[in-house]
Amino acid sequence: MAKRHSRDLELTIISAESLSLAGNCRVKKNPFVVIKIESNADQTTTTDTENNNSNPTWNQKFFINIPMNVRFFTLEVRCKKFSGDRIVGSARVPTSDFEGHYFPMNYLHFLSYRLRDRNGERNGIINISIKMMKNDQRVLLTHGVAVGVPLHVRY
Amino acid sequence: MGGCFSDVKGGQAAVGGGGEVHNLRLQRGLSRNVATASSSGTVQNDAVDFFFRSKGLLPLYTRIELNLSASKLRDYDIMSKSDPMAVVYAQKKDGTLEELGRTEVIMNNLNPMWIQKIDVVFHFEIVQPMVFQVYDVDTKYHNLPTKMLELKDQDFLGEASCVLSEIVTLRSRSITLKLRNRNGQSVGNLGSITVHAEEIIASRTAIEMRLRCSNLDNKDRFSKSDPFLRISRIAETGGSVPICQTEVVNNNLDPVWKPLCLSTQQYGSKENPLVIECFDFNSSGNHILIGKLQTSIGVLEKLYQEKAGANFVIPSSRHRDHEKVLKGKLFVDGFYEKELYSFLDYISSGFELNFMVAVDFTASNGDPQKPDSLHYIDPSGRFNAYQQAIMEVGEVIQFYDSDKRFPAWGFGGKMYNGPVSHCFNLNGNVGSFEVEGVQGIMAAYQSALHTVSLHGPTLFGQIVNQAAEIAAQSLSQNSSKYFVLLIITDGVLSDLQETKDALVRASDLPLSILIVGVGNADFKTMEILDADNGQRLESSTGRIATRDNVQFVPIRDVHRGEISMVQGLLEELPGQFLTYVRSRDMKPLPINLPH
Repeated sequence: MAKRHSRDLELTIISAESLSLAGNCRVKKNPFVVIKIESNADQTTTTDTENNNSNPTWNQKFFINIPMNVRFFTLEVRCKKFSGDRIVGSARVPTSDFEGHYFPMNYLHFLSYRLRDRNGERNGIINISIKMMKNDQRVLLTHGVAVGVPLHVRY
Repeated sequence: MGGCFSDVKGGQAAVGGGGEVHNLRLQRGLSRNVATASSSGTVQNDAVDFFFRSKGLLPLYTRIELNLSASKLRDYDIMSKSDPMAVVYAQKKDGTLEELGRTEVIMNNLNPMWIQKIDVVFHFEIVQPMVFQVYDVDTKYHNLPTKMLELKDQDFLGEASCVLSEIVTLRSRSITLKLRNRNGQSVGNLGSITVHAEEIIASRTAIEMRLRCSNLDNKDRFSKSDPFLRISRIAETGGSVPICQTEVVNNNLDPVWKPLCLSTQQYGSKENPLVIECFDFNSSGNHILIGKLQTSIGVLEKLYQEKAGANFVIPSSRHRDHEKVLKGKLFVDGFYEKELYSFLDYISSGFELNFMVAVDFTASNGDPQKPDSLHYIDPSGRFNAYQQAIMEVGEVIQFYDSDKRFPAWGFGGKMYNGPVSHCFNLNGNVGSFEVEGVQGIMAAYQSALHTVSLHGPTLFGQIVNQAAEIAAQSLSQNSSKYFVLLIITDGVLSDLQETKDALVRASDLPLSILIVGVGNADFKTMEILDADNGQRLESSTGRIATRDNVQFVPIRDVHRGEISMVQGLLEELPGQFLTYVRSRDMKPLPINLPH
């Protein structure tokens, strides 16, 4: 099942900061994050119900698999609306930020990215952590099903 | 009066609950070393302390924290009340004052109870005169960190002095002193300051909690309340000591606050009674009590386990000793006990700080042959600004570096018969950039001045990347090293964006960058790199620095300044180290006492 030409990583969506919905209006509608990797099914965090504001925290861990030829993945912060989901902001995460040739395996990277809305305007920051997994640490990836296990990261 | 909104923000920030208190306390640890290294004062050296403790001897001193409050202060603001901040000094034998710490600024309050505690070392055998000064901080400075405030720009509200042992020997451990003018005379009533002393408990346990409320009463007429919580501990000697205050959540009757962290030092024991008060924030300083409740850490833990809420009460206005139970409730959404290791815990267990230096060889420094050059080597042996910075910082850091081999580079210089290089080895050796000891850096620097001609422009990108690569490589061999790159420069940066990109990448690595500015150039770009104003650095690709790992100090401030250059440069380093190791859940190494 595990593909040979790919890498596995443990991705934790920690939190986002200073999100806003159109203008200065605060985000009130349960923001959540969608992880998009080319040629894989999307994975989604659950909505953040505790912190219903512009600084949501999720602390949810995912095991994701990225084909060798893919150089980045995308994170989208979305909100539930009557008319479906709305993208609040998105960020591209280049794999080179955590794959540099000198990083040891299992190094815990803390990374933050600027989120931009559809018009390319700045809209908050997303904080994540990433750990590359050694091959023998591979977990069985259940394709197509979200495997978000809520986990409290202490930092 | 309009446009004051941004100023209110400073007053709405949280105090004492985000762990920054611990950082401050830890920073002291290093500053103390700095003090001994630079002025060889009477201050206790932590290294000496370790030596004693490893031999089972306890030196004769106790660490004490001072809790300050004042009453009936003078009112200097016309439209509102004074915004007081207290500063604590130790008076040295020659009468000069050494600053020990500052409280936060409390807005519009003539009877402030400060939350930020001041750490002092109590020596049993030495008379330690202390001076307490109170200032009214102008509204336009409210968003600056208090340590960056220039005290001479603030209104002086009065000062008082006493000897530390006076406070410690009192049964209540509290002393109230009348404030007087600077020249010692008391003109009219300037109010008084109360100092309460408590011994610091050596415990590393801390509790992290997430608090929220529901159904709070509305105290604002046109919008909803702007609630914040203040947690106070009931002291053994009676009275309550405020220990932490959350940030203000605007216009919300069901507020959720950011996690707050209380150390054993702050809350005492799990049974120690605490008072939690919920206020409606008012920019006039007249915060309205929404409700309060008496509890303890033990009770809060229970609330968390049972997912239950505790009702707020409010003292009844008609009957004394009668309290009205309110609908508003307090909930505990998260409760974790954790160990907070200090900077010294890591260092003493074998973590190392590895020192690296980069020296500016751009032409703006002036011809090294001429006495007005920043690179002029004085035959009399007096240090130029570069030598001074290398010596002072190196002397402190080398102490934490076991092999004392330091990478040393130059940038912006032109090699003999070669191109301009933005990262060349200071020792002129192609194969190796390491030199032996601080003396080795000094020697390499002097010889490089003969072989390298000054050129330009000023680029940091390559230097920072080189340091980052070394830091990253060490990760694969040994994860107990933290790197400190010292860049000494005179000039305006030409590659701001490239430097930012390099610094953002470095924020994910065990690396801090200290920048010393020499000469009289405009250092505005350096202030941008040192993200002290809360703006995180952003790279051209949209990546953002995960932590602040840059510190900039212009050396010209040293001469007029109240703290030494090294102190200003190094004081954030323990905090930066701790954010790195704590976020990765790295623990001090298992103790192996050397034989």
